[in-house]
Amino acid sequence: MIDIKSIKLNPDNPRLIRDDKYKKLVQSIKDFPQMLEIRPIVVNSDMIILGGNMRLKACQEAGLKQILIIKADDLTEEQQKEFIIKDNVAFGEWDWDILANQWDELKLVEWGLDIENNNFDPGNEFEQGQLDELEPKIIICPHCNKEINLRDMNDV
Amino acid sequence: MMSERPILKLDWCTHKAAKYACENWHYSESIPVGKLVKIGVWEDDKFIGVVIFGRGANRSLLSPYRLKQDEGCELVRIALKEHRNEVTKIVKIAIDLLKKLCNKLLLIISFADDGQGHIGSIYQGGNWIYTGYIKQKSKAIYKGKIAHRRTFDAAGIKGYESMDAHKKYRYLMPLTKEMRDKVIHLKKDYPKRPKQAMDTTSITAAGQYRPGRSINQMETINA
Repeated sequence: MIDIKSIKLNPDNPRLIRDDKYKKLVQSIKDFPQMLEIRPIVVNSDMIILGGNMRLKACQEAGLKQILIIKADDLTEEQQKEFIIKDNVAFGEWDWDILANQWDELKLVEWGLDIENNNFDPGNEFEQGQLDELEPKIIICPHCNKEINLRDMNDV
Repeated sequence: MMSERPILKLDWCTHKAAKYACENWHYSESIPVGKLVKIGVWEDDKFIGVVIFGRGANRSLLSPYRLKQDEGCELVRIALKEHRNEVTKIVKIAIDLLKKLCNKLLLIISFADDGQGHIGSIYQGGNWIYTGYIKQKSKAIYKGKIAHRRTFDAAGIKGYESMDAHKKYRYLMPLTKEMRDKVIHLKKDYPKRPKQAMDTTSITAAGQYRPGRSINQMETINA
């Protein structure tokens, strides 16, 4: 465990977090602090974060004074860059059927999983196609330049 | 014991909601193009899918009945997730809404795809007129996705496999007495589902529902 103030945010961190997600992360740390011991923040030899910038901010907001880190001080600059990206890439995909059938939807949202809202509200009749009307088929007469609707001529 | 059925509501549906339902709850995983009437379905205020009417892919769809393009339409999608109300009832209410919007329509046509294990139980339950089947030859499969061969061709996809021809059972729903009189002579006996094909999904008449996604839930619902 080290003093939280000794860790520095990475100024070149390419990741962002939305406000609502950030609030969920802070709450998640408060609810389940052991998670930080199982998955510590990763820093380089200068104590700059390679993995866990958002978590550090959230830990500070959650009022933590000390946290566990892993120091990856033998990585080249190139490897550090690679780590930053790979640490955030999810190669797998969610099986939404299993999630839907075996997990609590409210918990999943609370834990920060993006569940698409599929509870749509009704639309209106103006958004519907008029199937008992045909669109006019307009052509311009090359001789008199008048518009002619071909629908008016027999069964076109 | 089965609990009380949820409150069913059908109303106009946005394109976004209809697209979501088709892509997630219909075997085609796609919404048709062109003019559509999209009717959303809600159970206890929760969106559970859509019934869609359109002109259909075949331009000569209505010509055997001597109708013009603006006198009939095709029921092109019933895309529902797990549901507690009967599909036949849902379709009936959807047709009432369609008639309200397009009151000059005389006939609705729909097809049940044998390739998906459907025989049209929904239409049989709703007293539609069965008029025989057509053989669909132009479907193909590519990376698990089934579509018309021309769809793959248009997308520049090569290497798809043509699928065996299968039947599409054709059902008619005349919307006026005159139209019914005009087509009733085409009526044939309803096709029957082979015994070995019976499963829990058939009990709910959810013929259009993509199997495998909610069979467990349906069994619970029907228990």
